[in-house]
Amino acid sequence: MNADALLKGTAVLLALQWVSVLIVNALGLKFPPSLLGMLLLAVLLLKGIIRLEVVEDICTLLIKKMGMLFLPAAVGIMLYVQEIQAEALAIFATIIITSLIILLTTAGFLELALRNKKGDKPL
Amino acid sequence: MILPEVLVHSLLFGIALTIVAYVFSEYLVDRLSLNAVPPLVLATIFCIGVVFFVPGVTFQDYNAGAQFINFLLGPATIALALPLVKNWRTLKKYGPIIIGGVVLSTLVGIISIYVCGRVFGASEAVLVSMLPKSITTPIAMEVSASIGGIPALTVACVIFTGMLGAACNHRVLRLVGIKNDIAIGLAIGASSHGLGASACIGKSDLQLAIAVVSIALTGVATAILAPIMLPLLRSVG
Repeated sequence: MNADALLKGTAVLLALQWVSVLIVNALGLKFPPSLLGMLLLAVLLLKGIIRLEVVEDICTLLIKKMGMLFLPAAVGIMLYVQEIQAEALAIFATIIITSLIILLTTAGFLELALRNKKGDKPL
Repeated sequence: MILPEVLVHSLLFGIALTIVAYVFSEYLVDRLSLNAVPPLVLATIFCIGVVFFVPGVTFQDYNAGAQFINFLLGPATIALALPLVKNWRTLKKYGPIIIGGVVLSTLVGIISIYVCGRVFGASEAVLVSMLPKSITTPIAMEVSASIGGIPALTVACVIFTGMLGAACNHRVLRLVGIKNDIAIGLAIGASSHGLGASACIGKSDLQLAIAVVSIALTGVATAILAPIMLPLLRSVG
């Protein structure tokens, strides 16, 4: 990790977030600003306007330790214990069943689609 | 009062407790080889324990400082552009198939969660909060807030979904005979976001790369489609 790059990268991320918040507010969009920021950064990196080395360290740090950033929100669960208890069956049943549905339909679709793609061009 | 007031009533308390609890949990997971347990879960239990059981400490005391950590979820979401850009070549090669899979999984996800929630009699607030449960937490919280859910409840559902995925995904996919790494990675990222994808570490680099791409794209797709589909689903029943 390089201290200069960490600071520069942080400046880039925060500036992008600032711009994204401005855009989302100005256009009155129902879209998460940080997600717009992600798309903007991807475009800037792919176009070579921002060099990968500038943001690589800070991005790697944030992604690797993202778990910690969820902690305040997860602790906030304690304020909703009653709601969760009251509907525990609905919540857990829905989560388990739909997780399986999403996993299997997606994997099944891709397996078939990729098999067809390979079939087009003999190896 | 066990802790001195000057410590509890300062921003230091929430920030320090969050970071110390997480580092301590990472250490425990590493030392005791609890690979199935994300450090986040231990750290959550630890922090709730402190806030709940230590006299004179309230959630507000904790949250005053913890908000600063929470704020970093924004830059962390923007940081997901990095794996997207790094895997751009593979993405382009399988572009249409990957996008097809992402759109399919997002649609299937939103519809199945809505139907399941209705069938099991979830209240409106809980139903809406569950809708973004399969996507990465920072985006899920924003989607939840934008469609009228409770972000903290969404986080609970997201984390439970991720833990379930990390424990079961590979077993389920092996059971039904799915072997393609692109299919496995995309399905895991789409159904159980980063926590589920963490189970790919050490198994296959391609799986992990595709899973990260899938996490970012299903996040975008859900942010766009959930606000559009929710009124449609409501009009049906």
